[in-house]
Amino acid sequence: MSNEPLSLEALALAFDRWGSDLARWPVGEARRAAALIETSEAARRILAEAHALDVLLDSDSAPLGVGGRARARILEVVLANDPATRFLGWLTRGPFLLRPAALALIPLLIGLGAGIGVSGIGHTDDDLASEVHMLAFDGAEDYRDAE
Amino acid sequence: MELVQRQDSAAFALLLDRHLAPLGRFLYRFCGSAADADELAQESFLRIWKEASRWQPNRVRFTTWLYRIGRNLAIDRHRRRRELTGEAIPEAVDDADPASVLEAEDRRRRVRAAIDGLPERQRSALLLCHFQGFSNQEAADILEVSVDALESLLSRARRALKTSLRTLVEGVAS
Repeated sequence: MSNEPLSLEALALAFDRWGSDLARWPVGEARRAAALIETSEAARRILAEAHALDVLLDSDSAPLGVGGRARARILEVVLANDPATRFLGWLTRGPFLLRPAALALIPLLIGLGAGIGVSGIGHTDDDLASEVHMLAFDGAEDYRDAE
Repeated sequence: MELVQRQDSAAFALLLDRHLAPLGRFLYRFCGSAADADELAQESFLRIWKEASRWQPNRVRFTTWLYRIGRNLAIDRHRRRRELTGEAIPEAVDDADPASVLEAEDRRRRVRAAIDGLPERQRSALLLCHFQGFSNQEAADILEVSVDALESLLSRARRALKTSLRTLVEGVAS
């Protein structure tokens, strides 16, 4: 960084490079430019011209919302490709009874039904059980007599 | 961005909230059409989403990567359109154009025409630095040129604009 005073030509070139906002300039260059602008009428005219160009550029405003309109469409595509969303979509697609989620429920329901049925069969009546137990010894006496 | 690399859609939505509108404005100024800007912004972000795993934070900033993609897509689109129609530079179209022909509107159109008349690289340099607020270093990274080359592009762009908008510049300066 040089401490020499800036020339008017160098000042004009610097405005072309960095614009009229000295805050965007390298610090040392901005200081030298500010010093020149303070003392030189010609430098102030160069600044005014550079500033006028920036003001004109700023008048070319982009319409509000441009780009933002794409947000919903982008998220739609992204969410459609999201693994969790895709799995959920796969589970729930198609007519109700043919949906994978519904199909997955069928063996579950069959299993539950079978389980309930088996537990009903397995339940024994106490009186009947004792009769059955006694019958088991009927044959045993005959077997002992034969011996 | 690290969450986006893991395909976290909520993190991606946050990224959109922060960067979509500025990118849209850049693309609007670049191609002169709000509809094109919307489509290009959409394409840019979907590419980011698909290729997020390839992004390396220690090599390039996210915004640099995003604007590079957006600009390249815009250039490709102009190139294809030019091949089809012979159109050299896209005409500025304002989708929200008011019916009135106020002086400010006329001035805006002249400024837009002057910007559109710049060679593509000068225009990109100006849009990135002046309108998007990138530093010269950041803009140079996006355009993949040295800072000196970027500043040369900016100088030529501003000088050309001062020439083509001479009467307007003098009017504002006085």
